[in-house]
Amino acid sequence: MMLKIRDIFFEFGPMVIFLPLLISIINYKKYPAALKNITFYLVVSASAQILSYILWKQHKKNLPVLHIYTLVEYAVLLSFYSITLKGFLSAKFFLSLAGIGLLFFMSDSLFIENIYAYNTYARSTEALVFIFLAMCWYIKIVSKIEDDILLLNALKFINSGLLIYFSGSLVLFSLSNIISGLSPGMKLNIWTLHALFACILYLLIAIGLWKYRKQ
Amino acid sequence: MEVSKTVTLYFGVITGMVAFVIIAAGSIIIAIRYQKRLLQKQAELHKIELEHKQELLVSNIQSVEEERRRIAKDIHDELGGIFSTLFITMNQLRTGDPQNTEIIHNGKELINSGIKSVRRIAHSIIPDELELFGLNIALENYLNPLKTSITIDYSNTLQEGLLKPDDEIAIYRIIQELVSNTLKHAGASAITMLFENTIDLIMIKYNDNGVGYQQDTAIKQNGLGSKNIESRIIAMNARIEIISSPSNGFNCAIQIPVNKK
Repeated sequence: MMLKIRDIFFEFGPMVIFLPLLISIINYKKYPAALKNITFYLVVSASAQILSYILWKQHKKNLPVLHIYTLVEYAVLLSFYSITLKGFLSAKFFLSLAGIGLLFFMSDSLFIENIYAYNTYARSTEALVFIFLAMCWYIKIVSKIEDDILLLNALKFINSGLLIYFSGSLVLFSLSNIISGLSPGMKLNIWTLHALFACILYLLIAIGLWKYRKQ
Repeated sequence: MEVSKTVTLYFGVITGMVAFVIIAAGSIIIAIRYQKRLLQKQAELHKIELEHKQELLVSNIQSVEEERRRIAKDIHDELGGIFSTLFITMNQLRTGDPQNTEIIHNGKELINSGIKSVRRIAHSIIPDELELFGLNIALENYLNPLKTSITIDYSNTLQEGLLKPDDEIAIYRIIQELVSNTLKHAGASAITMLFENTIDLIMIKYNDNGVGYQQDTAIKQNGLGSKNIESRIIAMNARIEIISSPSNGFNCAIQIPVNKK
């Protein structure tokens, strides 16, 4: 039986992450703190995806990986925004956001939602936080001219990728457990759409990192 | 789950996901367009600021040259006139006494020397031939007396009429400054100067075989002479490139756009 394009995309789409990962690892030493954070984010994402894939292939439950990944992803991306939004939002604000967020995510995984189910509260809260921060970054760049045009151009792509990914995934993250009740074909379509957003995210990160490297 | 509910949920999720992405993409496009406009505005302001600075610089240089011209004219006309009148007056003195004859003779020599000094000073402030015959003759007249102490290879193939009078003065002053630096600091035995042009560029190459210098140190010790050169280069909208290192002489290339204003 021929594999459908959708299935190929669902299976191999996430591999796009290796493109920005490769660019960022090669140029890591030249990067400023914000881009080093993105490199770390890519390493964490790639590791989580590989681990999930291995567990899935072995017919083992891989959702606990998502719970842990959410915590690390939140911390890393929050650190990224605390650097890129320096001077626009205070350090205290980010510390509070980190403390409250991480505490809430851990409580969600340990006491509210099952570790073998989707952590919908944590994922959707995380998405809302990053949509807000990505919007703040745009407000920052239209209200004040940045000195480092090179970094600004790279961050435009990276931030756009993050905004598109988290906006597109917000509904999915909020309703992940309810969606589990849909037919396999429907679920596959929805998760393929999510894979498409992830591809857009990684491609935009790759363009941003490539532009920084090229210039 | 009921079939209708399932279908509603399925399409609801898909629509929601796509709708959010469209909203996000729209926000990104608006923000980036606005930011581009902001950058363009800033670039325009920066350009206006630079142009204004350049205008100020040009006007400053022009007033300095005008003042020099006035001083040179005053020295030449007034002091020269006084010396000439004094010379005529001395000629009218009676010379019966041989002692007086000698005094008058010495006086006339002093007056002649004074007239020459006045001409020399006035000429050094602003060379007449620059306005009368142009840059090439003015430079030749400036360089010829120096050839007794240093070998100067001067070649000028510039087409006539390419340079404005203000630019000719600027280039003359730059060459004066460069030659003065070579004579004072370089310990060089030869200077090479080449003036040539393409359709849109005038190129001046200047080098000496002196001791050269460490460029980093020289930039820190940027003296008045270097600043004068820099101001005139900016005023002409030109470019200067200097290459020098200890024991390798001094090399300088200047590029002046032909239709720059």
